[in-house]
Amino acid sequence: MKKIVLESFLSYRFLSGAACSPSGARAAFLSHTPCLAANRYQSSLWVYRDGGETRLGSRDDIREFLWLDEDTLLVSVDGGDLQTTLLSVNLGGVEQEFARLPCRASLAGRLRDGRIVLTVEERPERLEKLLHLDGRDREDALSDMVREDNHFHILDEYPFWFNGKGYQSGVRCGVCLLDHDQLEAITPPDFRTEGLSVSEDGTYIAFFGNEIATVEPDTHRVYVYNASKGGSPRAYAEEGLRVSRVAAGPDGSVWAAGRFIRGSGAAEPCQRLFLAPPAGQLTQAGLGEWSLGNLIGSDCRYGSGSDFMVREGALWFIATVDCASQVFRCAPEREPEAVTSWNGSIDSVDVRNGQLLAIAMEDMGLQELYAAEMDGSPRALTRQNSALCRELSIVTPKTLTAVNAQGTEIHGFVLEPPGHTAGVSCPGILDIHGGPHTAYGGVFFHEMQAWANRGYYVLCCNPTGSAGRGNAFGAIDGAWGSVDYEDILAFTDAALEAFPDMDSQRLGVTGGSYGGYMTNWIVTHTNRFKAAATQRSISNLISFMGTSDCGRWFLRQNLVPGDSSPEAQLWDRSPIKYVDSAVTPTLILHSEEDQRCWYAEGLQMFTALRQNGVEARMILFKGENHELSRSGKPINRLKRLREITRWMDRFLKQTDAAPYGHE
Amino acid sequence: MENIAIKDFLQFKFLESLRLSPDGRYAAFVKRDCDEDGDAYPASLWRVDTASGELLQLRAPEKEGVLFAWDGGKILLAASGRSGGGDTAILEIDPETGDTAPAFTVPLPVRGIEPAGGGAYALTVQRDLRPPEDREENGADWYALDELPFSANGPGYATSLRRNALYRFTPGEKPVRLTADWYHVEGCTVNSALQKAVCWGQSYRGVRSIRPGLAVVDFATGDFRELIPPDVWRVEHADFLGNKVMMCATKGERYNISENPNFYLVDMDTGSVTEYCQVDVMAKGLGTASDCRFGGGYDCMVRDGRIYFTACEKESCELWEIPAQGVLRKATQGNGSVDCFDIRGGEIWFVGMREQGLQELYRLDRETGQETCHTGFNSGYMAEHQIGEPEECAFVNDNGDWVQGWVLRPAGYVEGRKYPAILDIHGGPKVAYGRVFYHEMQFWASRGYFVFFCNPRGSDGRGNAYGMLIGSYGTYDYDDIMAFTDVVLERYPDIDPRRVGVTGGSYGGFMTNWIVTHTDRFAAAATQRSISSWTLHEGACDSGYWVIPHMHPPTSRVNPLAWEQSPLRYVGKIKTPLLIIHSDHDMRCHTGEALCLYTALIGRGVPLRMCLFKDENHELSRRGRPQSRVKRLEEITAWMDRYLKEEA
Repeated sequence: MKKIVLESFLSYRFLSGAACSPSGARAAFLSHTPCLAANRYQSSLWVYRDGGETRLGSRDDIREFLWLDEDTLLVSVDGGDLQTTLLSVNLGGVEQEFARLPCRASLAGRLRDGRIVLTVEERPERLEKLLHLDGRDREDALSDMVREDNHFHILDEYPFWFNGKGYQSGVRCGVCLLDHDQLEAITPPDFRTEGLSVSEDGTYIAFFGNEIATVEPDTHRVYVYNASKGGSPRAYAEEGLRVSRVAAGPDGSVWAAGRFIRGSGAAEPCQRLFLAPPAGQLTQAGLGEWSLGNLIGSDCRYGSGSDFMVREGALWFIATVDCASQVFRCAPEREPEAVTSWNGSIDSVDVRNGQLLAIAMEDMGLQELYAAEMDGSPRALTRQNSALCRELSIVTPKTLTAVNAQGTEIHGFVLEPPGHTAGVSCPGILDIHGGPHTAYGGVFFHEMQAWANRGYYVLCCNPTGSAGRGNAFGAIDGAWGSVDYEDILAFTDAALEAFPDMDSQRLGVTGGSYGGYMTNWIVTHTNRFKAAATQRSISNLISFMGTSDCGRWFLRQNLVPGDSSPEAQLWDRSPIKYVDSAVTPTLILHSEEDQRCWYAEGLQMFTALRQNGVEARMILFKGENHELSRSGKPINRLKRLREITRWMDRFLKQTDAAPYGHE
Repeated sequence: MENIAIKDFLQFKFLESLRLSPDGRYAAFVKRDCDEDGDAYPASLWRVDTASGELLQLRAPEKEGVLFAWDGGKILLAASGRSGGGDTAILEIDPETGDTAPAFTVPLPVRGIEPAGGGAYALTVQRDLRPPEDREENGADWYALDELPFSANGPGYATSLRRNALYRFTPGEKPVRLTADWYHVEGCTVNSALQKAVCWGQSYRGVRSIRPGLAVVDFATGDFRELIPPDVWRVEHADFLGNKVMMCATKGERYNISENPNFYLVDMDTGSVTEYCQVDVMAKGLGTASDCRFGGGYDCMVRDGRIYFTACEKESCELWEIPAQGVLRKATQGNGSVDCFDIRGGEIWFVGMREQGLQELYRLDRETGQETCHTGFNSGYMAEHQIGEPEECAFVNDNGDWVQGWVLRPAGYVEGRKYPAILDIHGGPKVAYGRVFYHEMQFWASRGYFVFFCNPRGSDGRGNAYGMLIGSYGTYDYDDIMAFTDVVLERYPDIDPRRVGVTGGSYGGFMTNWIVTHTDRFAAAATQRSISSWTLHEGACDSGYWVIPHMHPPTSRVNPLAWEQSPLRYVGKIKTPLLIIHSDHDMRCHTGEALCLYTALIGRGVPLRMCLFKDENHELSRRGRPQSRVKRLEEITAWMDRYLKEEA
């Protein structure tokens, strides 16, 4: 068995976008692997057929794909100079240029008449130039755009930026149809499309979004466009409904999922399902409180895939339930029923001929393509990671349940160092998830595996506010740093009791995003942890509110009506308010382009700790955003892991020297 | 006569780094041009023969800037490698002819070079104490921050684990470091005999103090002797005077970080400090505000037993002299601003903006006090353009203080017609407006605006008590500015009171934010590089960790006053159309200040726009890339036009 070390992730493959061929006999997916030398991810197209998987062609820069017919796929790659190149690839791997688009576009589906559905995200006045100028004129326009982008950004809308996408003021997203080389938009220039679905038969396009005048409205409108007939799309709106997903049915029906934003802004943490039958109204379907999609955390995924679709007259979707994610099927007028009861995470799914195809993490392995057996259990189809996983010393997390002060069960996991000898005391690292509406599950988590292999106990739990247990359990807005904090400490106590070799005097804590907020909250409220690494964290809710891409949503959802002033509420729950109590050596990791939790949050924590003489170090990653730990450039991901590990080693194992003093 | 236009600053020449030859025969200096296409300020080296007045360009413009020093009768020029690692080639220039030849190479990236006697040189070199893996040259794509300050406006995140060290270097030999491992030199002065240097700086790990210590280094022996430990005096400058060390410093006991330094003598054997001269002016202060300067130069020195320095008195930044203990007098008697100076062989030369002029090089006649201009880099422009002259408009405030202010009339002003107006507010706050050429103001006047500006309480030039604003931001300073506005509107009835806009940067941006959150009297506002919340400023500003605790003791985190004095708190009261101008690499007033204000205000029905400049810092309006500066002025002007001009 090989130890899992920090660098091991460089050999992992991450899968995304599984899709069945029209007949269902074949399936394609993307496989991504980090390349340290090129400092990027290599993304290649694979097809599973006749019981085996093969890579198509030699390209390693594929962004998206879809099936054109049983033997041909369409892929998109970056065409340079704000262009997109579409290529058709046959099963022999032979590529042919399909189209060259004069703008950045994303593949969204294929209509039955062969037209391709795309989304185009751009500022309308720029798109106009990109689409209609060519030759020298286009070059001049491009160089003007580059010159402008090198000098300034104009902000006159909200949100003004979005993590991973950059400055968004003035940017719109249109739904376009590609007919040979003609691009035609079916949305008005001012529309921002937030999600899209093409019906399985290629007749209907369902999409949602809204037109933005200064501030993005709460309510999303849902539209269904009949591509065979053309004309205006049918529109649905439910006041205050913020949609996260839509799915078009071949009969013109549309399913949607979302949550209501009420006047005060308070929103339920879970989502509801809605259905508009052909020519009917959008009405709630079923009673569920759904943590939609896979919300089980892992640092071993890259790219995305579909998790909400109409197949065979029913809606199929992925939802997170407690510590795993499952596929559900919902027929009209019925309550959803679970199709799977697997133990890990189902990351994306497709359905054809009653057969379920999923990219999933099962049995403590890395991602593979799975089918469901007759009895519903998972059957791995691919061997992208299986050989590697067999070699690695993978620790199976032990489930552990704590009971909090309210009598509620808190579910979590403990990883023991492999080969641990009873009676030998080991340090421990508490990992805290982001969200807060996500969850830990019994799946492969690289950093935890590496730390366990390094001799650490690793513990993690799903405190109040986590996903998968309904609205009541998931409600933590307006109460960050209260019961959630107590739950995490209660779980830590339970873990220390259950694993007596875990040294209570040598515990470290780390977490990202909300987990970073909680790490900051912990170090400003207790000194029981001897080292902390706070990642993409929040330290001052007032500045977070003013700089985050979701700041105004956050504010509205977290204010308690009738309580003290908004600023007083935010300040009282800001870790920085209590920073003078902190003594724990704290490593601060942040990305310069993190537009969710901006790096000013990390700077404030660093300054205050340093000012107070507390051991502190900050690593500020250039060119990275909130996704550093999951899709950051390989060199930076490695640096992140090394820094956290070195910090924990230094204070929990006293093995590594201070990071400075070199020349 | 032509009107003044937005892009006119591209024609201006900026002068800096004036240094006289030891015998006073030549005055060498650097001229900056604006290159719009290249988006840069190429620097060229020039000299004037102080006897004949002959002007000669010694080096063609270079993009990187020019570092030079006098070595006897020759000029030494550091040719390359100053910004990155590696060697620095030193060239030797004959000031008479401009002939240039290689002199020697220093195996270090040099930031400063001075002759140190016996063919040796004193070098200032930045040492990089970061572990190898965190260095850019090894592929690090991150900043590792271990210390405070973690950044500085301009250099960016390049302060943590860096130290400026002093070396002695003899060409052909290995450089010898004279300062300790963790010592950081903030400044140093070599004595006239070129035997030793006095350094102000400190050895620190983790947190750098605002109060450096004082030490004397002997070049021959390498002996480094600390005279005063850090954390006691805020030393601004030091030099040798007689057999003592002269120190320009303050403990800041009464007026804290805004306290004017005094002059002291330090005994080189005992380190004991005696007062030499009390001056209630801000020696080495920020001077008279203008957007028509680029670099700096000497602003304090001892020559022939006399101390010279620059400081503002009222609106004018002049050269001051302390000829003997306890005696203070102004050496220049003009009006405007002395930006940098040098004195050698009895010659006193300075770069200045005099009266309404742009920067030129001047000689001061010590006997008569007469100033003679020796360059005409900007005189053509001045002659061809319609330059407005600010009219003084002073008043007495409710505290009985005389408050200075000025009004620029619109070009082609016709009495009886109604005009819009713009109130400009300076940064600092310890800075002073004066009558010197200010491009944006002149441009707005040429565009048909009255422009008015004043030096409210907290400004420079009026002594410690007047300049004290600590703990009181947005109180009596605001009152003074509002009272000034009332006075201007009363004395200039042709200003339409419904069409008055306000703008300002840094502290002026804070004040603009404060104004729009406290009054609706302005019809448009442009807030630049501003502060909206002290809590963020403390943690994200390059100097916040020492500035804020002094403004809101003990820290903004526990002092409710910090939030009470944050404009962000009152954002719901804004009704004024607001343009926000900020730079994304502003390390002084973090971009988050602007974003917080923007987020809080957008969607409240108040016209709002933000222009965020990429890769610019706090110096956008003065040293920003030319194309960015043009865009900045276009944005502000378009905003004012939109809300203040009737025809718009």
